[in-house]
Formats: sequence, structure tokens, C-alpha cells
Amino acid sequence: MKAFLPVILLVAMLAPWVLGGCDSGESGSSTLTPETTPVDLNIPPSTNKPAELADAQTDFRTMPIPVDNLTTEEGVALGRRLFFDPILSSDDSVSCSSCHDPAAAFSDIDATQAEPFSEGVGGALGDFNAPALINLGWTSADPFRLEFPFQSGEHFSLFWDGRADSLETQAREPVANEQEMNLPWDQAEAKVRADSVYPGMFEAAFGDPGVSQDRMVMAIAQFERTLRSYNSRWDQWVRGEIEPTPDEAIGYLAFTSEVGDCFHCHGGNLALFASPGNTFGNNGLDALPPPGLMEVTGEPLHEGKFRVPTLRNIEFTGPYMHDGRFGTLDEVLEHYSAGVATESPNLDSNLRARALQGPLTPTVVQGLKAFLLMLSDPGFLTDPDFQDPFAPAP
Amino acid sequence: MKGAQVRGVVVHVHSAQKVFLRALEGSILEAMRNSRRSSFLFSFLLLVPLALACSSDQSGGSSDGITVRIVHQVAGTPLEIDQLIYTNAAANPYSVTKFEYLISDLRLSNGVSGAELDLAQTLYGNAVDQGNSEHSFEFQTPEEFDTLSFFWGVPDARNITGVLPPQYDGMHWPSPFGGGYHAMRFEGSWSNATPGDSSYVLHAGNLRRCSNLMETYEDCLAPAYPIDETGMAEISLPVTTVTTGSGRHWTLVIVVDIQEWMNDPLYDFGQDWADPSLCPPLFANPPCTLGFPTMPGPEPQSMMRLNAGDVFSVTASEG
Repeated sequence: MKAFLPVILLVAMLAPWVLGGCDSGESGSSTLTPETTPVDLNIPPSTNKPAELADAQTDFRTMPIPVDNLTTEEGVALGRRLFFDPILSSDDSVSCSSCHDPAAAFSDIDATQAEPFSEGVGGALGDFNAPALINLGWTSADPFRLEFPFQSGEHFSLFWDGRADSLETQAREPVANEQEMNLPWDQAEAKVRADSVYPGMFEAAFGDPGVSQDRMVMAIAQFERTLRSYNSRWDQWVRGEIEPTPDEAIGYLAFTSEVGDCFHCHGGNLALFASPGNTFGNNGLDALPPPGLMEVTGEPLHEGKFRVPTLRNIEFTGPYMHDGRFGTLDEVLEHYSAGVATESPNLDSNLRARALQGPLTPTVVQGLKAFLLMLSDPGFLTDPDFQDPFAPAP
Repeated sequence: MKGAQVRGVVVHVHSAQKVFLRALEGSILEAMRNSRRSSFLFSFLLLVPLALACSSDQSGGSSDGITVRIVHQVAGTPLEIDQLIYTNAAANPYSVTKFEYLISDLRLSNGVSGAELDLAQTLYGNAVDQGNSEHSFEFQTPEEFDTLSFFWGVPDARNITGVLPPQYDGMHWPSPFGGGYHAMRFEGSWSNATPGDSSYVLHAGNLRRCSNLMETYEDCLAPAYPIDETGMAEISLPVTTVTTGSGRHWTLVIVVDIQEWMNDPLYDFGQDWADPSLCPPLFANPPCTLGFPTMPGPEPQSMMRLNAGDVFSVTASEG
């Protein structure tokens, strides 16, 4: 027996870990320690949902948080500071918040229809209009995707062309990107390591003062998961606190039926206002569209498809579309009413069929605009927890 | 055996666990070298269940089990995506750009003995993005079966928004019509001499409500096109006797022939709804056709359900 006693002991000690790991991974974390404070990001379901919304998916799903990057107060504080700190750019001029300003629902407040792309270090321009950062915690690849969303078998969920599969992966790119912050990660690590404040914050968040690229993107992702919007007039309707106006009610009906046919791409989860099963689509902006998702997958059936963004706070996130070609919501609605390029390859069939029916009626357009404005959550823009920690106190 | 559950096949062994299991394997070899045979066997008996606990969702091999393969065809030939090469019985040239669906309560049964074997509660199919699919199931109990059955879509009692896991949210069915999930999304282009190339969107689901948010289906629609209140179609297919257990492995091939969605009754994408008054008033340009819109239409919904019975066929073979 002596010879295999070590094996038995090893089995006895590690069996819970092995067996525990057989589920989807609900336990274990490198960020949740006795010294850190966990943060619950889930939104309670409505307890007073009105009858007319009884059949709608209005509740927020449980946020899918990576087991190796659970959200803690210390991690969020570190991520927030990094998000607003230009230290992560090569000339200390650009931070994440330069292109994702809370006052514009974390889209680029300086972007306009004439100049839709964000400026990076040295005035370099990006390739796309900077998207808003809202409720991104619910857009992670798993578990909101079916097993085989694309022929490649990969999961794609972030960036306009879907080249990042998680918030952590996404956060790796802008720092080193020459069009954005233009700072190689080894230099970013050195700058942060030499800072007088950061090592202590890393110790608080991760248990030791070690600074690394991995830890920086983990902290930034933790902060981004806290950027939740759930108090628009829509949410208040869901909670039974208000009644919609007649225009809003017509807009909701048009939105969630083939009348406006918005829901096939922006429905599914009305807490998110993006459809998890239809994350990418070609909405007929151009007869000859740019490659979009095909750039990532190489699949011709993905030509012209871009990520479907959330519509929450759409009032504050213009200009619109991946290239910022529309300056107002009226222009957006005019496109969907009468401007869809029906010959565009891989155009969404629902959109094409609807467009071929002819323009939307003025009543429907007015209703859809009212419903889109119903998704505005001004408190999201001014939430003290989302503001620049370097800004002087008001 | 009645109502027995089997497990589906998915492999998830974390890399760290793999390292751990390899380390255990090394320990076993070390114990083998340094100890008596009984010591090794004892260790082995302890460790094998652990290893299996982390990999038992995976099989797909040729031991006891059933592999269900779902194959998508058009008029007996393999589906080609986004090619305007097909013609339906109504003489509509058409292509297929999307074909997604849900199947529920996949089950083997025996009409004589009453034995039942539940294979899967919900299966998602996507002919465009995932192609033909394969699902493997394990079992041990010996039994004979002569029927494969399933529900096209989600049974009405469970067809409630939010009941399925979040990965199915994309298949949701709008709340103005009663919520729940699409049974099918079948889309593409079709060629019509006048006015030319068009799109069809055959979406199937429930019609518990009409399209004015408040009224139930019974309140707002004439009963000219009765919808089965139990929901979508239940499919029951006879199979060659499948005998499970004793190391036998069976492959069931379900052929989904997309062309059959339009054969009986004849489904013409360009045909107007028989009762134009049922076309939702907010539509810009009535009349509604069988090609679009289909979700609020009792006529297209009823026709799709009637066609469902001819779409599926199954063959069973051992091995």
C-alpha cells in the first residue's frame, strides 16, 4: 500500500478541484481573494411587469463573467483608472476615454458625420466609428451564442468586425494599435510599474503589486462590465412604473414585428437591444459593401456583415453605423425606410423583404423614433462611478 | 426504461485538468514500477472514475450509443447556400440564405412495449452556419425501438420567452404574437417575373396574440384559419428496429428536405393572403403575401405546419 499512498492522498486532495472543474466553471478565481470585495452586476428581474409585455424577454440574463476574472471593487477601481489614464499611450495624450466618453454613453463625443473616426496618437485616424460601451458584459461570446455560430467554429463578439471574442481580448488591442494609443505593451507595463500609485492598486486587486498586460486588460474589462444601463423609460415601463406614450407603443409594435422588422437583429434580448443569435448583419448600406466580418473569417457569406450594436442610449451615440455616415436618427430611419441597397450581397433577408414592401408610413417612422428615444438613460451618462477619476471633484 | 434520459455528447476537459490527469497517469506508472500489482490496481480503480467524470460527456465512438445525424437537402440533393438554382412546386425559382430551426423532445419509442428513450429536449439546427449536424447519445439499457419522434419547434406548454437558455435568445418569437421561440427561420431570394427578384421569409411560431399588443388571437382574428393550439407539428417517423445495449451502436440519419416545405399544400411565395383584412394595418404596402410577412399570418402559419409532416425522413443503421 505504501507505494501508492501518495497517489491516493493526491487524489483525495485534488478530487474536488478536478470534479468541480467539470461543470462550466462556476468556482475558482484569481481575482476574488479574502482581501478583495466581490461586485454583483446582475439586474433584478421586474416584479411588476405590465401585461402587454408579459411575453417579452425583458429581464437581464445573468451576466456571464469569466471565472478567472471575477469582478471586484479593487479590480474595477484599477480598471477605471487605467481606462481614463493617458499613461497607456506613447505620448501620454490618449486614453480609452478619449474615444469612449461617458458623456456620450462611452462613444466618441468628438465624432461627427463629417469626421466620424476617432483620433489616436499624433492625429492618426481609426478605421471605424468608435462604438458605445453599454451593457457589454452581456455580449461575451459564451453563453449567449450557440455552439457553432460560424463555419470556423470560433466565437466572435466585439469590434465592428468581430475580431475579439471577449472584453479581455478586446482591451489588448487599442494600447498597441498605431492608430490608437501606439504604445507597445512592454513599454506600457514599464510606465505603469514606475508609477507611484498603480503598484498598490495592483496589489489590492490581485494580491501582489505585479504589473502585467494580462492584469491590465482584466482590470479594464472588469470596469467595462460595470457600465450597465437599466433605467431608461423602457426599463421603467418594464418595471410597471410608467405607461408608454401612444407613439412609443406604436414604435414598440413596429419594432417587434415585421412592420419595422428591427427585432430580428436588435431583439432577442430586449434588455440588451441586440440579438445574441444574430450578432452580425448586412443592413444594406452599400451595394458594394466593405468586407466586414469576412475580413476575420474569410467566409464570403460574411461579406458586408458588421456587428449589430445595442440601441440603448442611441440618442447620445451618433454619428451612426460602422462608418458614422448618418448624423441623426432621422437619417437612420430614412435609410431603413427607403434607402436600403436591396442588391447588397448577404443583405439580411428580413430587411430586404421589408424594404421591397416600400417606405415605412410616417406613423411608423414617428413611432420608431419615439421608441428609440425611449431607450435613453441620462443617468448612465452622469453616473459618478463611471466618471474620470482624475477630474477635479465638482 | 420509460422516459429514460441519456446524455448528449460534449467534451470539456480543462487544460489544467489534463495536466493533472497526465500527472496522475505518471503516478500510476511510478506505482506500477515500485509496488505490487494489487497496489496499482487499487490506484487505477480510484483514478478511472475521476478521469471519466471529466470526460463522460464525450464519446461519439462506436461503443454503446446512438448518433443522430441531421442532413439538409433540397429535392433530394445536398443544400447549396445562396444559389438561385431551385424551383418549388409553385414554379418559384428560389435560393436559401438561412435555414434555422428548433427540434424538441427527440425520442425513440416502441409502439408495442411502450418503451421510450428520451434523446434530447432541444436541438438547434442551422443549415447555413453549421451545416449538417451530428449529435451522439450514450445508453446502456437494452431495448428495442421502432419509432423516432420529435416536435418541430417548441411544444406550446414550454414555448415561453426566457424558458430556454440564453444561447437561444436569438430564436425568440416577438411578444406581440405571444412570445416564445421560432420553430423555423427559412429565408432566401426568389425570382418573380414581375416585379423581379424578391425575398421570402418563412418564419414559423405561435399566434397566441394578434398584432395589436393587447388582444388574444381569439379576440382579434376570424376563425377561418384555425391554428392548432398545441403549437407546432409533432413528427413521428417509423424506423427499422433499433436494438440498444450490449455494445451496439446505431446511426440515425434525419433528412430535412427543404423543398417539402412548399409542396403540400402548395406554397407560392407571391400569392396574396386569401383574407387581406388580416394583413396588419401598420404595413406600408399591402397586400401581404405568403412570402412576406409570415409571422402575423394565420394562413402562412397554418400552411407551414401542414407541410411539416413531409419534410423529415429517417433511416437507421447499425454501426
